[in-house]
Amino acid sequence: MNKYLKFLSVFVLCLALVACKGKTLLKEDVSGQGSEEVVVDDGMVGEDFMEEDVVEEDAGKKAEYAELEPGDALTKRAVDTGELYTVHFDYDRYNIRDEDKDLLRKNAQWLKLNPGVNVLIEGHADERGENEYNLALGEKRAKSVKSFLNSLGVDSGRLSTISYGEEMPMDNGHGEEAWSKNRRAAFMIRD
Amino acid sequence: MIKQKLSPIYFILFFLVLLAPATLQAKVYIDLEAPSIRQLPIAVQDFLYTGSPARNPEEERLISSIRAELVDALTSDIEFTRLFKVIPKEAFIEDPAEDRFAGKEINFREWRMIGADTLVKGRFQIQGDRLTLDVRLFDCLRERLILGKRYIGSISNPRKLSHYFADKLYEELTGRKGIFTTKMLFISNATGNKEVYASDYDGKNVVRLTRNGSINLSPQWSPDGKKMLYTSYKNGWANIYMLDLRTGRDTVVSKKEGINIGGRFSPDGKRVALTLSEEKSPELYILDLDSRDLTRLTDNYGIDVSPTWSPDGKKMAYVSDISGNPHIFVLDFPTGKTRRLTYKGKYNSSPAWSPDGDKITFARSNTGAFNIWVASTNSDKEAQLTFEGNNISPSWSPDGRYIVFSSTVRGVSSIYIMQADGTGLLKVTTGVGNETTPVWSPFLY
Repeated sequence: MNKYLKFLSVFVLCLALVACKGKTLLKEDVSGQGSEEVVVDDGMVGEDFMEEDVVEEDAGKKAEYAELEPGDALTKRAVDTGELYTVHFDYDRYNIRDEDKDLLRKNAQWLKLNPGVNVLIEGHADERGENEYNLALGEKRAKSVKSFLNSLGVDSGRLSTISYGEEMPMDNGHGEEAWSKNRRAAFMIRD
Repeated sequence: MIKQKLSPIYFILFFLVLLAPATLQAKVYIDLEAPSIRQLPIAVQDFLYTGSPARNPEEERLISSIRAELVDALTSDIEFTRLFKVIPKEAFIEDPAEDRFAGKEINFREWRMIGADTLVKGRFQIQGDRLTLDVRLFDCLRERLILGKRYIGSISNPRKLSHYFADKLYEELTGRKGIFTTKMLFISNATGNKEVYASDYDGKNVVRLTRNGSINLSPQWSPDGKKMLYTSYKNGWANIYMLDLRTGRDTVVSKKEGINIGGRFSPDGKRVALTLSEEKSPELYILDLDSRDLTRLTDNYGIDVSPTWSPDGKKMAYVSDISGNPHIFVLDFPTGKTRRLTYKGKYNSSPAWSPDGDKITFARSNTGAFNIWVASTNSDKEAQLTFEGNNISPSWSPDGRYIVFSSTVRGVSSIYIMQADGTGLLKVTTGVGNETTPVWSPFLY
């Protein structure tokens, strides 16, 4: 019988040890976790900033352009706003609408008449959907306008493109009226 | 004789075999696999300040605000899971000032009387700007300590100490890792420009990560949570950058001609999936961060964006409009084959692969508004998770139990969290305003 008691007492001791293990207070130092101390100022990262070309527009100078015909609307628009005709797109589409093709033909004709002028074609989307898809959509819109002009004989070297996706709406509204204005490709004169 | 001698030994051995697993393994208080989960009743007593007495009203206020933060963070974490029934403080019988912190001092009967199966008690002290928190979880039915921890942190962020304890409490009671120390990245235009922000998972403790005044989009965590990829116009064009969240070092990842957007780290953190347009259509590529080798994944006239890696890195889901409208496709790297995942809806976007690998959540629009959906990756099952408002940009919690997304009403966007089955919708308040594209971090500790 003594043997069994011994065995039992060892067993009870084991149980007690296991139980005690759970009670140990573990010290966890939360200090020094680097991710909490985020030191960020990417305005300070100068080297990357200097590598890129900075686009600078001279707003003071009134440009003189060759006119399609005396006092035509497109040349007036170019002088007043620094832009050629803007074209618009259907929702989630990047093909050029038939009714906009005349505007693009005018832009092409004008650019051929003013060979010293380069333009930046900005592609935009409305606010619906995801930013990333809309950036790609704006890119497709800008590119399809560029290739249309290229097919009309405008040197593609004069046409650069950028997409702003849904990030720079023309109209800040939230309905089809605003959206239809925002789905656009704009021609910004660069020189 | 022999029989008589052996039988008690057998009896004891049998007993040992039965008991050993029960004592060595923690009891599972909440079985997350169970078809229906009974909420575990828990009482969280106001933590007791046991440091040197306050010398003036200012110190008094500091102590009470730290107490409030500690208890609020822990209680919110517990309530967030919807796995607990938090006993209201008004029901408590024991006065917190009594300082009964050891199991043998606690009158567990009083706690059982108010229905508290479990009890959390805490004591804290302040030394300079250091905050020390001792916190214990008791089983009131078995009258024993389940968990005891001490945390030392800064008085500037008491919530963090409670989040640490909440992680441990959750892990102890469910056997799974807690998400209470995880974080979120998101975009807000509160300053007038879209900048990247980080916050705790609950929207508190906000830090602004970019301040370049241009347009910043698509923040993404590195798998170790130490770096962030983002798309920025800070140099005039849409390029991808990587920000080291510890050192603040910012580097260019991709700045090719055309758009450089939507970078996503591979699960091993060595490669980045991204969309480049150059002279072509927007196509998906993989950039090896060491060798700078670029591998093109798609080649078509349409749009290919928003990649998401499967957790094993063998597959990638993405959005393509190759079928006429944006749909989600899955590319299998070993075979090189692409499979279309979605057929319904006019616009499917922003897929996010679940941490367990068998689901993809995404946003879908049929007519106008978008809603969050989830699709199985190994069957053709789909389920709609949201039904009201305009909901986009879903992202999984690292344990796969929750989905964070943004919801827009008339141009103003907010962050919401729901359980992965679409229940338990909760608005996340960051205090920043107009938050979009929330991205849940991986486990950070």
